[in-house]
Amino acid sequence: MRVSTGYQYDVYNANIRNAMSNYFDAQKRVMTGKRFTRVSEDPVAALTALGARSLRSRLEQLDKNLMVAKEYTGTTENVLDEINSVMKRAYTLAIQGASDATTQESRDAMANEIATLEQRLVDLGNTQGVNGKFIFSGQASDTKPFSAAGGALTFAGDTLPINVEIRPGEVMRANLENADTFFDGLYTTLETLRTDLQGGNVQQLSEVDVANLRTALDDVGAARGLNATKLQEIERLHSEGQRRMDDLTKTISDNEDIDLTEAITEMQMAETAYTATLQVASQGFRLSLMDFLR
Amino acid sequence: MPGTFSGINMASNALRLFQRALETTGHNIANVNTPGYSRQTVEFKTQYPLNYYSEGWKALGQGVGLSQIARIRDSYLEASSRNSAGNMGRFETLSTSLGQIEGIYGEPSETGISAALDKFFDAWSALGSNPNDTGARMQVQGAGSMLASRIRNAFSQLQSFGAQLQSSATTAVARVNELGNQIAGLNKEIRLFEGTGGMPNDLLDKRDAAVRELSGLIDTKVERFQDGSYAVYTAGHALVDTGGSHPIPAGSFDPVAGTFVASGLTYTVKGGTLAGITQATAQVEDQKAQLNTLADELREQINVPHRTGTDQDGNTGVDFFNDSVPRSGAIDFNLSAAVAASPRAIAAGVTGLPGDGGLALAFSQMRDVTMAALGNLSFQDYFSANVGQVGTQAAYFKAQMETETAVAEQIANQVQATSGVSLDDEMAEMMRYQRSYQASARALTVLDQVTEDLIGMLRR
Repeated sequence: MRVSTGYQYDVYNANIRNAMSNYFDAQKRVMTGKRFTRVSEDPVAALTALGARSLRSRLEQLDKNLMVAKEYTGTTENVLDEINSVMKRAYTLAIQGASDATTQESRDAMANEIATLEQRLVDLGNTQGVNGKFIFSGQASDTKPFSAAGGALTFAGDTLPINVEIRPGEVMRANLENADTFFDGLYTTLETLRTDLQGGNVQQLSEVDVANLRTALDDVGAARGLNATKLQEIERLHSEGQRRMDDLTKTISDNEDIDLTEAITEMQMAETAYTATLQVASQGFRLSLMDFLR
Repeated sequence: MPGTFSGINMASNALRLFQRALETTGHNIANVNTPGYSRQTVEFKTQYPLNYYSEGWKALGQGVGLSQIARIRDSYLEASSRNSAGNMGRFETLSTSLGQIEGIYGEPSETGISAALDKFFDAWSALGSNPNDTGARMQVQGAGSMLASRIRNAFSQLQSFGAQLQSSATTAVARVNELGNQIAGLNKEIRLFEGTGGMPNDLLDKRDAAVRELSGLIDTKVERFQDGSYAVYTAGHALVDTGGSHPIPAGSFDPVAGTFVASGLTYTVKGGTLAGITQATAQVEDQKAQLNTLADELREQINVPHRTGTDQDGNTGVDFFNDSVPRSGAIDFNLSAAVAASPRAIAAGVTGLPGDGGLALAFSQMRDVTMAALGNLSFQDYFSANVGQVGTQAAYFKAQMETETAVAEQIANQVQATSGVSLDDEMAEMMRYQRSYQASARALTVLDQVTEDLIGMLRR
C-alpha cells in the first residue's frame, strides 16, 4: 500500500495516543486500587457490588439494632437476677417464720424486712434504661409503670411489645412479656407473706406462703430462661451478621478491587508498549528521502 | 516539411510544462497537512504529430502537451467516508451523552442515590427498633433529606444536561446551514470553471470536505449533476440544489421528536450528530421520568402511612416528604416543611406511644416490597436496574463508537493511500521534473547551437 506522509504521522500519533491511554488506565487502576470507576466499564461486576453494598449497609444497621435489643434484654437479665435474690431472701424468711421456734418479735422484724423487699421489687420494676425509658412499661416507655399503695401494686404501662428488627423483615420482642402480671404475682406473694408474718399465722406460713414463694421462684427462673434465650439469639445473630458482612466485603472487593500484582504487571507491560511505540515513531519521524538528496 | 524552429518551439514548450509539473509538486508539498486535500498530478500527452511527405508519409513527433492537472480521488471511498462520518457523529454524541448521564448518577459510590436509599431504610430500621431515641429520629430526618436532595440534584443535572443537548442541536443546525451556503457557493464557482473545460481541483476538495462534515451532522445524500454541481439532501430536505441553498429554519429542529419543518414539510433526522442528540435527549427524558416515578412513589409509599401515624407532639396527618396533588416529581422533592423543621414531626408509630416503632419498622421492611408503580420492583432494585441499564447502554455506545472509529480510520487510511501526499514521492517527482527540465534546456541549447551554425553557414 502506498503510504502518504499524513497517514504515516496519523498512524504514529494514533498509536502513541493508544499506548499512552492504555498506560494511563493501568496507572489509574494501580493508583485507585479499583478495577473500574463507572458502571459501564463492567456492568455485571458493578451491579453485583452495588447489591452487596446495599445488603452490607443493611446488615450494619441490623447489627446496631441488635445492640438496642441487647440493652433491653441485658437490663432485663440484671433485674431478674436481682428479683431472684429478693425472692430467695423472702423464701428464707418464710421458712424461718414458719418455724414454731421463732418468736413473734422476730416475725415482726421479718415482716419489716419483707416490706423493704417489696419496695425493692417495685423499684426494680421501675428500672430505667438509656434515655430514661422504663423498660417494663411496654410502649408507654416514658410512664413510670409500678406504684404500690395499700398493699396492692398498680400498673400504669402497657403490655405492648418493643419490637426490634433483628434480621431482614424479622422482629424480636425485646421487653419482658406480661410484665404487669409477673410483677403483680410476686408482689402479692410478698404482701401475703408479710401479713402472715405480722399476724403470726404459722400454719398459713408453712402451708401456703412457702409453696407460693417456691412457685414465684420458678416463675422468675422461667422468665430468666426465656430472656437468656433471647440474649443467646442476639449473640448468635451478631456473630452471624459479622461473618456475613465480612463475606460481603470480600464480594465487593472481589468485584471492585484489583489484584495489585496483576495490575502492576499490566502497568509494566503497558509502559514497555508505550516506550516501544515512542521509539519506533521517533525513528520513523527522522527518516526522509530529503536527507539522501543532495 | 517541418519548419526550422519547430525543434526550439518543442523544447521551450517542454520547459514550460515541466515547470508546471514542478509547481504542482510544490503545491502538493505545501498542502501536505491540509485536511481533505487530494494530491494532484500533471498528466502529459504527446502533441499531435506533424505529418509530411518524404519518400512516403512520415509523422514527426511534436513534443509534449498537457492533458490535465488531475486530482487523485476515489469517489467510492468518498461515499463510504461520508457514511462513516454520519455513524461517527451519532455514536460519538450518544457515547459522550450516556457517559454524562452515568457521571450524574456517579454509581457505584457512597455518594449516590443507591447508597442514600440504603441509608434511608436503615434509618427507619434504627428508629423502629429504638423509637424514642432522638438520635435515631435525627438519623431518619438526615437520611430522608439526603435521599431527597440526591434525587433532586440528579434530576436538575439531567435537566441542565438536556438543555445543553438542546443548545448543541441549535449549534449543529446552524452549522448545517452554514455548510449548505458554503456548498452552494462552491457549486457556483465549480460550474463556471467546468463550463470552460477546466478542473477546479482545490474547489472540489473543499466542497467534498464540506459535504463530509455535513454528513457527520445529519444524514446526507449527494447527487452530482452534469455541470459539476452537487445537490445535497439532508434528511430528505433539499439543502442545496441548482437554485442555491435552502437552510433549515432556525429553531424548527425538535430534539425530542428528532424532526424539523422546512417549507411546510416535516423531515425526520436519521443520522449524524443531530440523530445522536435526539437519541440522547430521549435517554435524558427517560431518566428524568424514572426519577419522577421514584420520587412520587416514595411520596406515595411513605407519606400515606405516615399520615396515619402520630408524631412526638401528638399531631397526626403529617407528611414525611413534601406532597401535593398532583404530585410534582423529582424537581422539588424534599422533606415536608414540618419534618424538615423538627425530627419530632416524624411519626414512628400509629399510636404515638414513645415506645411504638411500628410504622418505622413497616417503612424499614418496605425496602423488600415490590411496587406495582415501579414495574413490580423494590425501590432499590428499580434504581439499580436503571443504573445498570444506563451503564450497559453507555458501554454499548462506547463499543459502537470504537467500531465506527476503527471503520472511519480504515477508510481514512484508504483515502490517504490514494489521495494523501507523500513527501518522499513528491521529492522523487521533483527530482524527475527537475532532471527533465534540465534535459529540455539542454535540448534547447543544442537546437539553438544548430540554428546558430546554420545562420553562420549562410553568412559565409
